[in-house]
Amino acid sequence: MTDALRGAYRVMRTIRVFEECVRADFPEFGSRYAGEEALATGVCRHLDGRDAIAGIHRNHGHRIAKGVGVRAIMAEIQGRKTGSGRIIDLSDGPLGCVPLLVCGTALAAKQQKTGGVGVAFLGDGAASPATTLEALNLASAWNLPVIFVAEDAGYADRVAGLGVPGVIVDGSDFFAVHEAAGEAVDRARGGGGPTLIETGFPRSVEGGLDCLQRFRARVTDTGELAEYVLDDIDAEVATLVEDAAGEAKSAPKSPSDELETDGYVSY
Amino acid sequence: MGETVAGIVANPASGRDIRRLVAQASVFPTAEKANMVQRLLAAFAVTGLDRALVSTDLGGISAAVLRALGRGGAWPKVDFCEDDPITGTAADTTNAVRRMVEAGAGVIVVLGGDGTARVAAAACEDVPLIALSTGTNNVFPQMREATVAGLAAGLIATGQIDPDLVTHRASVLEVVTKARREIALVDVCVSLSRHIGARALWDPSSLTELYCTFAEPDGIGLSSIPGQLCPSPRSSPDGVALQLGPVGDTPYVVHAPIAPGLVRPVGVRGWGVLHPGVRVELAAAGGVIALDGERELELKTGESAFVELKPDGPWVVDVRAAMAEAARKGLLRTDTELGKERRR
Repeated sequence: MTDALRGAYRVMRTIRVFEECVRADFPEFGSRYAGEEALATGVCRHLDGRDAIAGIHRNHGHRIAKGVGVRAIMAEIQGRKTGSGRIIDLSDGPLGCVPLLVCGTALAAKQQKTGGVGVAFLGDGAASPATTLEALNLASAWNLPVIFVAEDAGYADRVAGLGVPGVIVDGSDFFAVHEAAGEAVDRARGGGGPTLIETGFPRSVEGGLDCLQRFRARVTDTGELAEYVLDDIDAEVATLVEDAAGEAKSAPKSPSDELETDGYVSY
Repeated sequence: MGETVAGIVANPASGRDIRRLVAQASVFPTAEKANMVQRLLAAFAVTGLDRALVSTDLGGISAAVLRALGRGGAWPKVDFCEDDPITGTAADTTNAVRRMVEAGAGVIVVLGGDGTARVAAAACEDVPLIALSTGTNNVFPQMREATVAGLAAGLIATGQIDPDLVTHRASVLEVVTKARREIALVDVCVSLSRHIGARALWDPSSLTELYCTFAEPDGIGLSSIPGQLCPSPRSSPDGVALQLGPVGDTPYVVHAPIAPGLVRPVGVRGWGVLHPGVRVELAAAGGVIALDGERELELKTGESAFVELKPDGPWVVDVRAAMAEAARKGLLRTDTELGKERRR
């Protein structure tokens, strides 16, 4: 259990430090995920190589949580040849396209009987596009192994009529997200169909609700992890991200004619 | 009597927890909560209430009521609780109830589950509550038509019915830890689980101690465990205390409906009467204490906690008694000329 807790903290901390590091070079960096690390981490700790995720905005958090290497993502953002693929979109992408893509991966997993699930991370901007509702409907009608993770947008109410269970959890509490996501992933792998997890982010509550601080306070209160263990992880992550940034900056730049490489596939 | 006021608190998050995933708990749509608020307001108007104070939320309930207000309708004056920032937490219920108490509300109607009623009860002081069910585990709130509850609330808030005749004082369980003092309306349970997590309790194997203000044989939730072993009516000043343990390790096993869709075997080591005013130390160090079925208090290793049954909980309106009183006094009757002639 303590290994799992250490792993979760390492991921959350990496997402935070990665963003701080990128923002130092690119203050206008569009992928702002600070404060939501518990969400990506709480969900992705249940996933493995069979599973696919997608999320439009703030997706460095989702990618790090899913296990994409920090060096590759850093190089990608720095526009280097060693980057992780041409799919980090620093501008606004088409809202609402993610849930349908994930339905596709889930359908593939279902047909190939891999036991894999698809996770779509949705922001509130995706609440209205028709594609979101279409995906929810499709996932329900075809009983697809999909978990829709929606940030604070009132979906839980709307999906009830589609027979998709919608639950609300506190998105800044790793343990709340992790528990709900665990049940949802088990349900999906077991053929139970889609789930929607709506995550609220409580506002302006005394004492602050930063998910990293909350995690740290709780695991040290219970004696599950010692402060020095967490401090060691902080130091380790700082070095990892610093090295990744240094490495990326010295890597060769991607030529402009490679911009669409890996981004589009011809059928 | 000055301006007559009643409050309505509607929790947008009630009926949305993980029990929809781990069991087949029902979903109570926002639109229906907003409809209930409107049915309450329509009933308030009939009783002649001057002003209703309605909670605000980001879930769409108060927005729907506001839209309906714009379309016009036979309602009392409607004001929204707008003075506190919305946090998306239980603090919103606390703040709204406090504003209603300050505004001199004669009754506060609470739409939610046991969790919402618990938070409202901690803040309502001596203002009587009517808790209507829109949550998951509803032991304290009633399943009742909002229109009828609205009539009862309006008749009490306008002074047409004496609240002393139709309200009773509920007992509460007070839990005190080093940092917090909380109440529960129905049950307090100690869980071995280390974290609040997704809040709701649905795995009885992690439970070690259970305290209930009352235990009804037809209850739902944790109080159904003593409800099937050692029932104790709501009218009793005493509560019940149980020691729980893993099935196979205990002399008793109860098959209890601990949540909608979940009838689970629960191991019981023993039970006894919980007398009011007696402080019991909980063996919860490092674990979690659940209040009314939701994990709420996380304890540090070695931190102590106590529970005490207290008779001075919220005043609760008996809607049935209120409506019987209305009938006895003829409050919802009008004598017409035709009727007078016939009776002559």
